[in-house]
Amino acid sequence: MANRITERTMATNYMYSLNQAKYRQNKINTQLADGKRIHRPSDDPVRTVRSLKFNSSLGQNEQYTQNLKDAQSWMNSSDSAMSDFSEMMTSIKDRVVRGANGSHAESEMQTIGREIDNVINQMVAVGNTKIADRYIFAGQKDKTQPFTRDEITGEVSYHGDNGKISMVIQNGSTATPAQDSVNLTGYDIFGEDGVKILNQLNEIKNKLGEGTKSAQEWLSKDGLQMIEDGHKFVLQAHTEMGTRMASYEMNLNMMEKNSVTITDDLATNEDIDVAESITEYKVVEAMYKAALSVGSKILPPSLVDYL
Amino acid sequence: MRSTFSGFNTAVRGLYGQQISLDTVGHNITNAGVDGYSRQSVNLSATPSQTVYSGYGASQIGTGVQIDSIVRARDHFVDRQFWKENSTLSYGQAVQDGLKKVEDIFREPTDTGIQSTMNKFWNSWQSLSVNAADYGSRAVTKASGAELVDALQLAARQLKTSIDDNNALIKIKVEKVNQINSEVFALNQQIVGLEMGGDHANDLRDRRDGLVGQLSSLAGISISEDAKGNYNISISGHEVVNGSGYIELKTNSVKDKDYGFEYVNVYAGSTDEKALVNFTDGELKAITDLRAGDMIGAKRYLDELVTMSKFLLQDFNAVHRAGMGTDNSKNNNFFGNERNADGSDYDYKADPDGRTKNWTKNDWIKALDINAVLNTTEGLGKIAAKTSLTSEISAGVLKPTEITTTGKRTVGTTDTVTITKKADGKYYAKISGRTPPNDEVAATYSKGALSFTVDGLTVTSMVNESAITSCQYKITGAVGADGAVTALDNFGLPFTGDSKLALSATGTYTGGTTATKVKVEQAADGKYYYTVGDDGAPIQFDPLTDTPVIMGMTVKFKSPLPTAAGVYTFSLTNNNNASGDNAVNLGNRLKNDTSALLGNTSFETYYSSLIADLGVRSENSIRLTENQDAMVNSIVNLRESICGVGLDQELSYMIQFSKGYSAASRVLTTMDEMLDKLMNTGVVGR
Repeated sequence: MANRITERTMATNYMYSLNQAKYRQNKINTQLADGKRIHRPSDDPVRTVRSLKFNSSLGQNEQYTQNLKDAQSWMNSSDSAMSDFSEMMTSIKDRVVRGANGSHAESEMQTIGREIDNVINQMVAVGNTKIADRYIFAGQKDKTQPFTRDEITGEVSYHGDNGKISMVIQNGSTATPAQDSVNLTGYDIFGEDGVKILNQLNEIKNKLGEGTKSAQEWLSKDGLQMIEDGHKFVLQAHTEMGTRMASYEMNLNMMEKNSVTITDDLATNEDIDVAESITEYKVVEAMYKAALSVGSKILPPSLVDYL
Repeated sequence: MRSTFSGFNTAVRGLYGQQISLDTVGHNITNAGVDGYSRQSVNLSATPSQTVYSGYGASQIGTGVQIDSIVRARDHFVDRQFWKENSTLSYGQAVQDGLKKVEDIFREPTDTGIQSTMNKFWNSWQSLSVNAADYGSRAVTKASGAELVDALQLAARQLKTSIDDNNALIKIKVEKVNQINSEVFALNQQIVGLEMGGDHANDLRDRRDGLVGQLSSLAGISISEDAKGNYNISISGHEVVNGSGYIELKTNSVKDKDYGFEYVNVYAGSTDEKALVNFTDGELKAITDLRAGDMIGAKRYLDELVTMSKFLLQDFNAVHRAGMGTDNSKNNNFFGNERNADGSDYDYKADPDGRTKNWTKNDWIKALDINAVLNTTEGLGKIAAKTSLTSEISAGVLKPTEITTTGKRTVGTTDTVTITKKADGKYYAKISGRTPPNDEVAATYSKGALSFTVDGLTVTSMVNESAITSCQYKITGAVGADGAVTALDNFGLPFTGDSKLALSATGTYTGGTTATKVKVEQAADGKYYYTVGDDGAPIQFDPLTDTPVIMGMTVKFKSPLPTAAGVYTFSLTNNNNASGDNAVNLGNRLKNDTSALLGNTSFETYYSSLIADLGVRSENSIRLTENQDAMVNSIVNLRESICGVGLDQELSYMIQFSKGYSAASRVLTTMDEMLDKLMNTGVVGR
């Protein structure tokens, strides 16, 4: 035989079901309110931990992307400076060729020397290029002006070091200069002591200043060779930077793709499917309403109503 | 012979019986909504019959109805089941609430939880690694570290507060238990008193069962009923209520040896260890477990925070100590303010004087702070972003403006002298405006001093060898005068600056942030001396063969060398501050590198498993509570089906009893009429 059912049984059961319906309604409501499936670890521990991991990866990705962008702006500046160096070397070469052809008077030679002197000054100025307070060719002494030129002797000295600026772009790797350095130091561009080529240019300038026959001979042989070698050295540094830039560009693309993937994963993990949730909400709501109206119609009648 | 009126008695008994039944129906209906009330019913039985004799022998005639008892519908076994499951339900609910609070303390997954501060902290190291010389980045790193410290400290504090709250709650709940126990004892006595005569103390028993129900949600209990009707109640083996009295539960505080906060313990009667009550179920077990239980205790999560704090103070600091600040100082802590006797930062990992051996867990939490040394601008420089340093030496400066002359001029013209170096490797001073062979004189260069004699005047100038051919000298002055000499560059412009000399140095500079100035000069005795700093004592050396070690750096001199007239100065420093390799290492220490302290996981993984664990436990408690809730609900339904008042049923009874009452009254009326007839017999026509 079925259990005895009293009014109280029905009322209690009714309240229990109504509460359950309300609880579910509330849960879906909270999820719908901000579109998130999880609000506390107990809502879904597995998803919570995944959410923590994804958020951490996303932060990491953003940081590495930022590093890459910083690196790019750094390398772009270096790149245009290197182009300038290259051009200036060429212009000096033209002048030396002109000065060494043996047909110039002493004063003309000195004029060419003075022109070259100006170009060297320009090269020093470009060598002191800054990005937001940081000298890009000073190695790890980025707050120190790397190149200064002695006003009397015209000699250039380098105050930076041969340290590499590393911008790490990969998770878990330590800063390895071979892999993630973004800078060229004076040593990379101008050779020994960070100024060898500049001081060779200075020497050439001095020879032009002397303007003697022997100086001209020296210029046409040793001088031109010096410039040739120097130019090659600068070009090599420039090429190296170019290769690195290309690889950074590729990495940046990859990072940006990754970022989309992670954001997607994160959304799949913790965002609700709004259509599904609204449908579910409607179902729960309908059930709740039905329970209410049925309750109001069926619960009260008893024998009392008929006596 | 039966009495004429015995039928009246039967009818009256009928009336009485129906009335009592009807009254009970009324009692049931009025109490239909009372919690814990159980339906009562009247047990009626026929009264003993009377023997009448007829011609065929004796017969038994009924004499009516009598009330045997009024009993309540109750199944004691269902009650026991309810009490047991209700304890478990209350336990589950309280655990669920408690863990929810812990979840709120950790606030995951949100943008403000501990994880987000950990991410921020890592990001700040990464930013610092690409911009290590920037003090702004350093300040951000310090602030992010402080944020992480605050987040961990806040969580620890809130966990401790939750323990205090639960202590207070235990005191309140224990008072409630005591109050219920005293009431149950009072009811025991009343019930025994009433039932001594064979009665059923229905309503009192309902009340007592209701109280036991309340008690069961507070604590796990075991109950037995003795022969007299007393309830004997035990809480975890301590009999707290029986027929003769009840024992009050007492609370007493014990200090926790790990954290120093107080635990409120519950004792039955006295406060010695034997009387300690270990709750087996119910809300009180939940509250005690939520403080220091192995699985769900707040103390457990505190322990995890202690481990994290330890990691930061030991392992993270170890990486930081290995790195160098902008001042090239090593062995600085990022976290913690413990100092050695000499004021330097204490190494928590090596623990040289064993001071952390006696540390309580609370000490580890307390020690977690940003190293106060970092709080100044100078201190920010101590954030160790680089692992190595490159030391450097500045170019030595020789003062070429120190031109000295000896002798007197023999010719009073203005001469311009250009120095050249000829193929023979010797220097010559070419005097402008003269004809060969009088246009040049030999010049000598030795140890930084260039000298030549023009018309009786000997000129000595300090100059860098490589700059000699760039120099011109203009000599003026009348005959017999000392002559005035100025240096010009080879474009004829005044020679103003310093002449720099190349020097080299190897090694690691030990002088910290400040540069050390070194002066080299030749004394009157012809020997060379170098002086470190402004007021150091001159040290004699041979610049051509000796390589003195100054402030950790081995200095090698290149020619030219100064003469008695000249002085070199140069300085030794360090500042490869844009190197951020240690910042990357520190970032890796947080995110990738595992630590034995954290069970061979990384800091980040350790924390996310802590959150996973908390989530699983909390989810579990919710699920168990839901199941338990359904179970208790079904027991309540079962109990209700036994003791609940059904209105339809009661009303049916009401109709039945009221009809019965009417019928009995009818019998009485009929008897009255019958007797009336009998009384008036034989008086027809009177």
